Amino acid sequence: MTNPTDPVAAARTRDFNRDIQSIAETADRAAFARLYEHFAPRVTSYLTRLGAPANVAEELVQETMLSVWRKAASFDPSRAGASTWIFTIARNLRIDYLRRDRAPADLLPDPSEEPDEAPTTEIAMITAQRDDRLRAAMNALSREQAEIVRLVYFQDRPHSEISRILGLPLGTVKSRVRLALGRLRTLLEDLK
Amino acid sequence: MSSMHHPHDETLARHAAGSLGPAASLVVESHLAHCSTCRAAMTDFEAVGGALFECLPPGAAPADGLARALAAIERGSPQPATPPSPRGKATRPALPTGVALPASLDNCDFGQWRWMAPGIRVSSAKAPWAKAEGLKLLRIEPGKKLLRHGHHGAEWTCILSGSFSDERARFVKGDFAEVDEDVDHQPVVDGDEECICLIAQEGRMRPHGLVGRLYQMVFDA
Repeated sequence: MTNPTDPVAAARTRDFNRDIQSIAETADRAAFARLYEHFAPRVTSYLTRLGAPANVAEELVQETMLSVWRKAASFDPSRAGASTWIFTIARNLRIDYLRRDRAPADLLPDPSEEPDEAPTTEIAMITAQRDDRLRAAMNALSREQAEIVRLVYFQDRPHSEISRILGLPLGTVKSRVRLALGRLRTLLEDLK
Repeated sequence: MSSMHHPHDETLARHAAGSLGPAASLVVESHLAHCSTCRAAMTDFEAVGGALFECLPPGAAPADGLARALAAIERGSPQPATPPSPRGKATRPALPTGVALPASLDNCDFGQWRWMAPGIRVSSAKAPWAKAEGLKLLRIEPGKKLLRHGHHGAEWTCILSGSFSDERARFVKGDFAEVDEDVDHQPVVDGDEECICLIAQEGRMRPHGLVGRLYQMVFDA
């Protein structure tokens, strides 16, 4: 896993914001190809970690990326950056899939239904501030806490995995999880 | 409007990550509709999810995936594989005047009220994914007590109307009550209004005594 606070990654995220906007403005297929190359493998990784079989993961990756094309006009970088936006699309499609035995339902709110019009420089500032805040908060966590946060996010059975990977007794895991997430949340609040 | 009792950070983080069960997520959604504090926390937890997602070791993208996606785009406005169904058509039990189920349940079928104990009725969700997490509505008359019980895993409750109290606190409309295997409790409906709750469970309830076990048979039916 690469460092989640890598400044290069943050800069790239800003380019990806631009790519999504180009799709909305000019149906830019080259921008779509860049987004696909970067994000499709990550969506596969995310879905596989949460237990999706290969054929389901493949279907949902394609649906996610086509949603990026379709919904590009509703992308609002002042609310969520490219990674977060695409991540929430994949997450919602996975949940819809799990609930599909009656009907697919867009039960979870779209991360950006109605973008507000804000000047580009202002958006760039908001985006940069958000990235900085996130980076500072993640850096302030201990290595163990950062690993706990990662496992809570991307494991179906986080407590037993945390216990196994970090060699902590199960009884200790719950309080460590509470401490790590509480600290992260406080850091994000304080940096607002 | 903000509530007094919220999901644990871990529950919000797992909801943001998509790793909470599909039924438990509906209970969290019902709380979020009432709670601006937790909606703000969700925005933060989603941003954390986006950063962690960005750093996942890339998996293998589908073979020819980009070419197929571009072909779908060329064919015209690519539609979702399965279009969303009309909202609000789900079957649900009769509700007291003035009580509405949250929008998060618009596509979730529930059965009719079944008697569970004097003054206590239950309506279970019908879909297999919802049954797997024991998603149900409980409707309890004022003054009624649930049997004292423990839990085999986490249990998530959102209060849709009325209120109840247990040894820990008082919970009102919009509040979120979260218990795990360490908690034994005996909720009592304390207002003059019926209490309606939405509940999902990770493990089954662990009632105490023979009556409790009989009651369990009804609860799980």
